[in-house]
Amino acid sequence: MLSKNLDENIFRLEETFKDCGDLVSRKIPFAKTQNIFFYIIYIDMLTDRELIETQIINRLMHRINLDNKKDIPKYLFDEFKNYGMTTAEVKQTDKFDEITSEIMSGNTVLIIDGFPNALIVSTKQFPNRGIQSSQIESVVYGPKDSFTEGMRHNTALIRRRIRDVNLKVKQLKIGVRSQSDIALMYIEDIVRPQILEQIEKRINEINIDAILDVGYIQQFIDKSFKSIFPQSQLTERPDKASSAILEGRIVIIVDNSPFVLIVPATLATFFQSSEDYYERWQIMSCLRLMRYVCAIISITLPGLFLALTLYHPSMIPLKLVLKLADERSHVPFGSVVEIIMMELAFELLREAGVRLPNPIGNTIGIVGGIIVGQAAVDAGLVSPIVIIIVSLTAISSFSIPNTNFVSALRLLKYMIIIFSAMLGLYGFWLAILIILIHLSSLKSFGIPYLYPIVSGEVNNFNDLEDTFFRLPIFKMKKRPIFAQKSQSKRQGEKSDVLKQQ
Amino acid sequence: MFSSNNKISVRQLQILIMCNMLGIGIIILPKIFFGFSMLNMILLLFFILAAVYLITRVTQNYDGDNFFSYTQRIFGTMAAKIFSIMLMIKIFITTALQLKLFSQIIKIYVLPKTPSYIVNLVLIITAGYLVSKGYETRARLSEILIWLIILPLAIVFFITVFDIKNIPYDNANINLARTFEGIFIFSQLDYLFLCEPFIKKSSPKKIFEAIIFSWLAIFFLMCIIKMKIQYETFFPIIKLMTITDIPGGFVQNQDFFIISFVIITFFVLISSGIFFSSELFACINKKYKISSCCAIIYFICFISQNIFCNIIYILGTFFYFVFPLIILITNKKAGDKN
Repeated sequence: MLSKNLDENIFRLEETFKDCGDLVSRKIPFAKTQNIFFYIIYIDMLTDRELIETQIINRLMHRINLDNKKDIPKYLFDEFKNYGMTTAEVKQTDKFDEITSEIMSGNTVLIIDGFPNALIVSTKQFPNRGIQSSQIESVVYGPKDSFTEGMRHNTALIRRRIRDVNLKVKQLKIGVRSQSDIALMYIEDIVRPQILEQIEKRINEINIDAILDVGYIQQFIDKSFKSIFPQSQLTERPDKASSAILEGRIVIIVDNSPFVLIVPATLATFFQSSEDYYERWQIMSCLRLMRYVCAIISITLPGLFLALTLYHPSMIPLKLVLKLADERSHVPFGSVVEIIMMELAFELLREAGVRLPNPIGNTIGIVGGIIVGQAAVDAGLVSPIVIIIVSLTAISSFSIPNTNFVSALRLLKYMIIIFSAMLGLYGFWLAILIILIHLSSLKSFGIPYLYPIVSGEVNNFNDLEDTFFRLPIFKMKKRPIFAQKSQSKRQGEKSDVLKQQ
Repeated sequence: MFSSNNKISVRQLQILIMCNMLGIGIIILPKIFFGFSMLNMILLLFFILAAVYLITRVTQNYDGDNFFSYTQRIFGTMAAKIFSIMLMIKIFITTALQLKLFSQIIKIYVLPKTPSYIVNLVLIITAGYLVSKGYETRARLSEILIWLIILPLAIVFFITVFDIKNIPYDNANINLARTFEGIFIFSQLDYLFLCEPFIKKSSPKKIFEAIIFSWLAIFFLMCIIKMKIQYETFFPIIKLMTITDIPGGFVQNQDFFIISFVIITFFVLISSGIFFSSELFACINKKYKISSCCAIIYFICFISQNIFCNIIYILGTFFYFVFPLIILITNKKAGDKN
């Protein structure tokens, strides 16, 4: 608790913030008096200095006139609080811990002599890189803005798109030392209360030093932590986050993270891109279907190639078999070694490309791909067909919009390769079955991961209209399973173009 | 909202029934009924529907109860244990025979050099993994696998259906005994006793629909097989697939599809067997029920199958017809007394 004596409070604060070179503090005479002082304290570069100096210090020193007041001590704090600053957000507290926490959060604390209370003034202004275009989820048509590290910027980007009074921003502080600000955004009358409760409970149970990124939250709240499949969706696009909120999902925003988390998430949501809804439904349906095919290719192609060439060459058309045999006749390694070698080489190139600075990274990627691939074929280390298989696998994986999900597929492909190498087509199918069993058992906050491909009858198969393909916008009248049943309708009859005709 | 009560919908139950019936029916029935008239298939349907009717009449009276609970109520604990063990043995033997058949098919058509015990072991472990995830997971998985089962059959059907001039009615050679034996290849009939606690709301009508649909699919495919293959083969459907060619296809013949069909079908069958036998095994030991059942089935399939055929016929006849009749008569007498 604070003391009435200002010097005692100053001593305590200076002891707490000892060796903090970025701390700014000053004891200032209040309102042209000589015997009454106030103390201001804040962290440099976390606050709006201009606001502090012009709207707080200036007012407190010069603009308030206490000369004619007889009972100065009694009304002093009220004068201090009501007329001392022109900011809207001012809180009062007497707890020392709260004061230190607010200082670390970028707010300014004011303490006046003779009163055991402090004022906390909102003066946050964190360094920010400004809104930029999306790096990972770029689209051809559609908004180009993306989230930034500032939580308030991110909530504003979503508020700009959903101007509904029911859009709530529930704030929490998680992280013993980091005291990271976390916001849950949802529409109160659409979201399922049970899911919201579950999420809040899981987040409040987090007891860790620091939350440095939303990825920490993702790992804490995903129930099946042993699964490589993400049960929540990361995005850097405000339009995607807004669309998710309108479907009844919840968006989790963490300060200092340019990504937000959307929960719950099913397999189908990882194949949806924002762009799907901005272009014509026929084109986007084909592209959506292609993504599913590409996902299957990205995990099964190398394994299937191995199974057929090693164990069942009779299944391959004769001309192709002869061609493959001819190409492989000069290669010293077995097919399994070839495939694994080239897959690992590609993974190395991919990782290197991510770490290198942009100008060099692109060049290295192209040069590495062409030279390593071509040189390996010329040297007779691998056959050309393997280069094609590996390239097709990689390109297919790039067509899936969510990188989190793609990472899971990248790992699974090796499992299928090993099974196919050991047991041919039998092993191939067993590996597929194991993956399908795992996916069938997975749930995201009570909703089956494979929904609506399985258990679609729960919502009368409505959700299939936006899974493998996308129906015209005016036909998508109902919200998905994530929303409350009472709010399942999202479009009126008048918007149906067919009925208008 | 989805719950974690491990219950499935009637639609999922229908799919599970179709997965089981289509798979084993397509592989075994053409071989059993080779040389006999298609009238045997119609008689088979009659037997199946009769058995299903009796079983569903019993399970409907004990909505939500498991097999052990309701037999315990009617016959007492000791008798319930005996019946559970008898049914469990029947399921063990049926599943082991299915596993043995599967390893034979894999040995001939897929992996001639790989020992059967490896083939069986890997499948048992995978099926055990599925069973450990619960019945709901099985049902969800079957909603995906049904498409993989139907796809090869649909390919064969649509390529060859226009060749059917009339339904083969070459002779009136009906074999009642052979037809009656054919019913025992369908293991899901006794599973109907055991799946009641896992269904949200039972519907005998839906079960009949699933069975009739599966029967129709098998019937038409058998017509095609009868027309296309004039001599007895080990597995007529596999032979049919190898001689059916899609011009310009990526695969040389339809081996790929039929092998996929066989693997998935037998996986579904064996996982069903492990699941239901483990549910019955739970009355002996709950903790290691799945691993125990997997081990027992694995070792049984190495024993010569001749011993087991008679056991299956006896136990099958008992559980498909006699046992439900006993329960229904007992219930009626108890009802009359009250």
